[in-house]
Amino acid sequence: MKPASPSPNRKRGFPIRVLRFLGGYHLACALILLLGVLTWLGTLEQVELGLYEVKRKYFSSENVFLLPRIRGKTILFPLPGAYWVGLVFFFNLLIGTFLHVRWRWKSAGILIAHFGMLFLLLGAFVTQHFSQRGNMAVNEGETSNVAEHYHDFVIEVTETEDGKPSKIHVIATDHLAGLSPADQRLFRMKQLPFDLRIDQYHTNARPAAIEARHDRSDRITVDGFYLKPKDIDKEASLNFAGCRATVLDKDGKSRGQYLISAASYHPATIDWDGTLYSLNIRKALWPIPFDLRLDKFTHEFHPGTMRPKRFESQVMRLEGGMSEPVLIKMNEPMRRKGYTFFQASWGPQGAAQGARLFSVLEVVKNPADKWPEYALYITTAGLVLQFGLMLTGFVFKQVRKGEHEN
Amino acid sequence: MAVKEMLPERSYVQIPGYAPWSGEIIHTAKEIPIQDGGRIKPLESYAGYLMLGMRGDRMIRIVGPAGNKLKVTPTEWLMDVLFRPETAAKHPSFRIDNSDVIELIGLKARAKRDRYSYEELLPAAHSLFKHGSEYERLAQDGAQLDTVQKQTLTLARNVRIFESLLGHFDFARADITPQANASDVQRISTVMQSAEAIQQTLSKASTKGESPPEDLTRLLQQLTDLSNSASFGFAVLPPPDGENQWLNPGERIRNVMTGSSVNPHEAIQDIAKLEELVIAQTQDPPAFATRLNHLLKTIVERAETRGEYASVPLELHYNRGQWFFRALFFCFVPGTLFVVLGWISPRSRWGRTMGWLVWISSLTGLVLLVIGITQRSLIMQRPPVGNLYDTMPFIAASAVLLALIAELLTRKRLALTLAPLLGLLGLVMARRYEFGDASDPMDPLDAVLRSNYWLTIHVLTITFGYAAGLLAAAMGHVYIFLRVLRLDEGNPTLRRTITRMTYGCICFTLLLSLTGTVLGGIWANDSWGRFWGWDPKENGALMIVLWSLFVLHARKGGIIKEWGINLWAVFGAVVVTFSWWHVNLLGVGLHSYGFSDSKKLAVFTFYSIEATVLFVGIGFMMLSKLPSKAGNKPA
Repeated sequence: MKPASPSPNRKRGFPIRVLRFLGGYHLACALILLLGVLTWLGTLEQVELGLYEVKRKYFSSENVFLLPRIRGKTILFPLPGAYWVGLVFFFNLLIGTFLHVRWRWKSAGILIAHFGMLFLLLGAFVTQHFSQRGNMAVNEGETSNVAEHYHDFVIEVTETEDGKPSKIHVIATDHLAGLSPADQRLFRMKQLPFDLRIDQYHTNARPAAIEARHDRSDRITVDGFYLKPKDIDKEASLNFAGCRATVLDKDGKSRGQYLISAASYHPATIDWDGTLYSLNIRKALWPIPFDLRLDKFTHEFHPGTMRPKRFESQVMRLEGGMSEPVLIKMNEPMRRKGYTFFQASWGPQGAAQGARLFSVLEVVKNPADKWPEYALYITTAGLVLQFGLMLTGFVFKQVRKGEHEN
Repeated sequence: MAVKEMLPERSYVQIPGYAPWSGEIIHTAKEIPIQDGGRIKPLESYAGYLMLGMRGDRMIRIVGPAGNKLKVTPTEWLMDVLFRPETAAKHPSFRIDNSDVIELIGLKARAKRDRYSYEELLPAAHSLFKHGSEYERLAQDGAQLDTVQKQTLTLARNVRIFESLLGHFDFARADITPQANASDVQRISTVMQSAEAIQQTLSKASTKGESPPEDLTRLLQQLTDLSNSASFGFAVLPPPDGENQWLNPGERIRNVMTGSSVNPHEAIQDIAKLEELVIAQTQDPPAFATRLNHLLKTIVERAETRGEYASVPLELHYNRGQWFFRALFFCFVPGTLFVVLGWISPRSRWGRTMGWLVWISSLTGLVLLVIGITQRSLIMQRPPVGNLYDTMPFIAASAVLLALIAELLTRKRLALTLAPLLGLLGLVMARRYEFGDASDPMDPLDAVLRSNYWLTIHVLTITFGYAAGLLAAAMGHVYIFLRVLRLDEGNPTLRRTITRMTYGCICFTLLLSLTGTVLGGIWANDSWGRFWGWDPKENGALMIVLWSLFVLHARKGGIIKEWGINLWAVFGAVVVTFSWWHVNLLGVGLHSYGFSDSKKLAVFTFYSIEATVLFVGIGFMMLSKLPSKAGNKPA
């Protein structure tokens, strides 16, 4: 009797074994299961948290681990964030494709499908990190070239010259990240003669006047106003940030305090040695490299109902002295220079016939815009090939079996 | 129980002196095109869903004057409501599922669940509307209503609709008295002829800063009341050229009186025709049929000119065909019975005969389903699946088709046994949904869904994927039942065959679900500007993809084998149900349809049943893997 030979795995070196584990079926199954559980929990939790918060909690790169909540109760069982599970899954798929799938014609379908999936996951990664989303609201007859972010806020300090804005200084969204009402953050503005200290930052608040009868000593007030905190809305675009801004000279001495709120149309005005600055918090704007003029907005309901049948914007794209008419409607967006414009909404709702309307276009800049489509073609071709081969083999086997039995 | 609830009430009610409509009148009435819910449909369809919404079925059984038994169809019932309000008030038109509702409004309940007539509810109408308004306000404020509150609110709404329809032709029954003490009475169509003079008088009074003459004020008040009562419900009058929306008589009267009618002459003629029709019903019954027929011809002619009539005859044919009803009760129910009978002696001639009968009934059922689905598609001018109701007959047909193809490939009479059962379950579900929802599932789609290209390639693919997933789950059930009940007689070839079929279905599910999901993403990218938004419906589809991917990789990696594949397949039914139904009842996301408690209960009952099957399957698998006392290898 021969002595038992060591298993093939034992013969291999540690790096190979690690690589085989990373590309292995066991890890793949664990990751698929985890993704399934996270997707399920992320779906159920939307009832409580809303889509935006769930996306942040479960599917963004912010959380390496998370604690799920079911019916308002936190489950003390940490789960990895879906972004990180997806990332590991990408490498598992990549390594597994090279290590476990045999490179032969019989496996061509699997290989093609795997490459399609890798491309899809890569597209998701690029979209997550490099896409921008916002909206452009434009009245009939008016022109716009800026899009507004749905839920990212910035603080703007605008220099004015002869009553007109001359230069805008922006504290970007990233610099406001993580601020809570208890925090304060100092922003040194190199190009401005003053600095700003931000505190009392609320994700959702409204400015309110102090009422003597309901006055509370713990409120931080400025000029008879305070920021009334509101619950964070599940619909993230309905939140309006607000904060207190303290203007400091370069020696750090306070030169005035202001309450600024995205819910207010009126910015604060700073008079600094005769130069006027306006201070405002608002949703981030980003410029579009061409102008869009809304020539006509059309909306139609199914007769006798309030069910929308179609709504579309006839726009004129103005670019470098050239103009081109474009019709943007549901399911038929306009794509230009990496930007895509979708028909999203309109207003004012319930406007009388003949009233001037505005159209809201969703604006997206996504370098991976078309990648899912290409990935679909690749993956489907692979699956059709693979399952087609399997089915053909099965049918031939059945036929042969039948002939043999006869 | 589920089937019983869908059947019409069996008991007969007494309506003394009830005179049935003649066949000719009902035949004509059914065909009248009307506009409702955003589309043109025959009056028969409108009446059917209206009656279903109020009564919970489409048939009233009454004892006629001579003691004979009569069946009142929805069109006859609606004709009573419109033309014989006193008779209609006696019909048991309102189903009340909880007697607490009746007691809440101050009436004495008969049974826990019963049907009541308008006449019976009338004494408590004030209380009913008071409670209804209160609950309406609560619901608008976001409060969760309990079952009794919800049912009271629904009843109040239904009674309001019923009352509005009772008064729909009051304008034709009422006489207008222009002068307070005069015996001179006029028809509304006669008054409408003076519209221009009335407008001039009003204009003059307004210019002088004076109040309009008292008689004119009284006249206008009567006109307003009558036109308001005729402004609710369906629209029966095709508009003049250049207008989109069909009009009801109230709107036509108002448009003429305010000078905003494009063709006042035609409008006055239309109102005069309706007056003559209503008068004929009471004063000259033989002329009623002729006038009704004349009205039908006028409307059809105008609808044809507008290019809006083509789908109406097809819908009448579809209604008459009752394809899904026939497929269910004449094909899939007997088919399932043949399957059971075939088990008595599967290998004998009896068993083979039953097998052939299952083939015939399943194929016939499939053909009927395909006819019904195709006709619906032609009527709606869109691909067959556009709303939740559409998915059910489509999934039933797809599952039956896939099961029959699988049977053709394997010839083991395993997939064949599932064909009628899947058809039956799918159609029972469809009928339950139709009866519970009681709204026309052929009404047009919202703007974002109006893309025949995407409805075809995304929705059909994903729905076909549901069917494949459910068939895989059904195969998994077959495996577990055969093993647990030892019906497989320890035959490993049979077990392997079932597992192969299950696995094949899962592969097919993956292909369809993955393709359908990514196609959905591409559609979303074109409509909403993002490929993936973690919307509940999208997540549900992804879960099906992940479920099937797990089975494929776990099998390839040797993690699961025969038992594992079949148990996972059964779990697939839970995943598909979550995606197909459960995500809609969460009330969030872009695909939320709004759900009732009964549907929630049905979903959770299904989960419980599947959990039991899985529990039994896993238990038996563990037992079968234990070494037997005789020291044999585990099975």
